[in-house]
Amino acid sequence: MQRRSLLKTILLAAGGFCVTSGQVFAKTYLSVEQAQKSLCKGASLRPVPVKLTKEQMKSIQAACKVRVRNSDMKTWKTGDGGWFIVDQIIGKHEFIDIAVALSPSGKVKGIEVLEYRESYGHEVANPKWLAQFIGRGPGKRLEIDKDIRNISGATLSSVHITEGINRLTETWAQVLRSA
Amino acid sequence: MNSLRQCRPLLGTYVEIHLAADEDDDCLLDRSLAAFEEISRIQRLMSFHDPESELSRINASAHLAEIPVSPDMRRVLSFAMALAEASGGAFDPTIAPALVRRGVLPDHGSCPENPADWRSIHLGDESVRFDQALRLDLGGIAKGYAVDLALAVIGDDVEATVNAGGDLAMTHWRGRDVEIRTPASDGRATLSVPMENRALATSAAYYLESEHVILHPGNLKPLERKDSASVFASSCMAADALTKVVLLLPDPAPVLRRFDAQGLVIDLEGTIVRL
Repeated sequence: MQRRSLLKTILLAAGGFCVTSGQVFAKTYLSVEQAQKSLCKGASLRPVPVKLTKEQMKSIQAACKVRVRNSDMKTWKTGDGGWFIVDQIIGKHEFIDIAVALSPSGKVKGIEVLEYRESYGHEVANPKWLAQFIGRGPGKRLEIDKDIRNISGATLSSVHITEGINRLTETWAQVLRSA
Repeated sequence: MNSLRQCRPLLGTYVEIHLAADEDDDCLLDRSLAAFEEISRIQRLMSFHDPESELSRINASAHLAEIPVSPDMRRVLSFAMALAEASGGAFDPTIAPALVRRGVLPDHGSCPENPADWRSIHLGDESVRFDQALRLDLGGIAKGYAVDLALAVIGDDVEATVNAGGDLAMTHWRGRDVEIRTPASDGRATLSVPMENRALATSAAYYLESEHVILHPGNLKPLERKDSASVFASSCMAADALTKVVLLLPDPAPVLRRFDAQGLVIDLEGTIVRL
């Protein structure tokens, strides 16, 4: 299997988000099947789709103070009563698809990032802004249109993932526990 | 050649592992999982936030008695102290109380008020002791160490890159290019440079999210530089720690040379200055 990260322009409105206009680069990591292997090694998984009612969504949101956007959950149940969930988190500048494994008692067993999309500011599309990087000699070029492989920069905080995990553990407590 | 890319939230950031080899998916996933397990192990030992970590146990009582240290803790602490010495305290792992007072790091109780520096740490072969109550924070160095161990577990027979939110190391680094986020545009554009050693780390004072801060050990004030510092070194632990030295010392070149490292600074206009 050949995985590669893609730089793509996404019509953000079409995705239901309205953050900034501009470009988004997406990095794809494990497939759902690989994440199941990674987080639930050896466990048997059967799909148990869960649909949250409006009341459940409101109640979960009130308890964890994180917005519940989707009523249709992508959920699997393990033989021992644990859960495997595929979900999406929306951070400050990024949209992250994650997979989370919960133990039979609702504890987080592991988290995989499946896809990470980061939006560029509109300045990247601005020719004047781009011009400053052009013609600066060998070994220096601005990379926005190619497969971005390895980026070093001031550390990205993974704080947004905590909010998403809090929402999912609250969803377990209110809904999945008895599903 | 088959490849696998895996990413988990660890060490307060996103850790990404990329592997390429003539092996099937399951073999690559096993290697990647072993590397993530190693990073989780270092997080359990060296987290300042976790009151149960080895670091927190040392912080709670090394001023009262000799406390045994794990081989990993000894290696990291020993390097941190060597760098503190070489940089005249520009890098100092005892700055944590000032970060606790600013609310950047959590207070696990009785955080010392009295100023201390790295010279109050006495590291033996298997134990550590402090002259006075202090708080060690390995935030500027343990991430790099975790990256080094993860890469070592994967093995050099696979093409591998481990990137912990910008602290990265790769097995087959010669002839490779790497991107560095520029200070301009909130760090969302990158410049391409050739990889000069096995590891590369970048730090900046300005576009970190508000809960992060770099304090100057001299006056305990937040650093207010608009540029970013990147360091190439043979270990990511050295690269990670040396970025702080580059940001904090007026002339970091002698320290970089001493640790066989190459440094560069990128300013707001995207100009690269080599040190």
